[in-house]
Amino acid sequence: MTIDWNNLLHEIETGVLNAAVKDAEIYAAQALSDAAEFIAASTESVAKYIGLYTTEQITASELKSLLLGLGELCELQGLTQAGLAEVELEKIRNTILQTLISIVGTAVKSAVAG
Amino acid sequence: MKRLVIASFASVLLVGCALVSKFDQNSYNAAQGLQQASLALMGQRLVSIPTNDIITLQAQLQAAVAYEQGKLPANKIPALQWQVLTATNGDLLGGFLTDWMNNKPCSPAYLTEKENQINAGFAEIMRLEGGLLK
Repeated sequence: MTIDWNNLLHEIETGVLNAAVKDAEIYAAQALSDAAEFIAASTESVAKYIGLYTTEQITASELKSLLLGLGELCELQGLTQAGLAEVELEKIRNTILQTLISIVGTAVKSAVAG
Repeated sequence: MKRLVIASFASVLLVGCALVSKFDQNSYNAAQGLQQASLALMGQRLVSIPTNDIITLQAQLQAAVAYEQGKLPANKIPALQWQVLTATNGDLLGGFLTDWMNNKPCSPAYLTEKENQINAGFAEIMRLEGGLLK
């Protein structure tokens, strides 16, 4: 049984890179879109809170609580993104592993057949 | 040497597995149920202080936090989210319930906005839980 190691390594490099980049690009686009949406919503909320305060519908203490609450909400959103990024990393890891197994498996089968 | 490279690469991939916890239907259901219960209770904020109901909800929230912490270390991020939402010295649900128990006054407009924030907080917890691998 002979295996062309140079070719195998090249296939692994190309296959793994393609798989990883494709998954990462899809996730990055989604994460950016989520972040932009959250920033826009937060800006709108701050404007609304200030409006409520200036029209005396909420007190200064309530304004402070709403702003601090918004900050904590931002923290929750950041944690969601961090968690989803970890999930995505695991998906990419699984894809790489499957690609690796597939490429090596094919190479071994070819070598055995040859 | 090449075999060693491939073996090392595969090892790194295998060792790196299970960094995050898997989807947990109990966690998702708890977040959904507590979201509904919290918002329903908050609706009474301008009318009365239903002390027993608040204490019951606080106990349920503590149980949910303990459940998430029980899944550490892999469940670090969801557990942290629950802590932020329920912190009694914070400005989301935990802090709101503390203020209520202390009979701190509250305007209708503030209540509406705080309900929106707490609703969004639970939504973030469910978004992450729902995104975990099954």
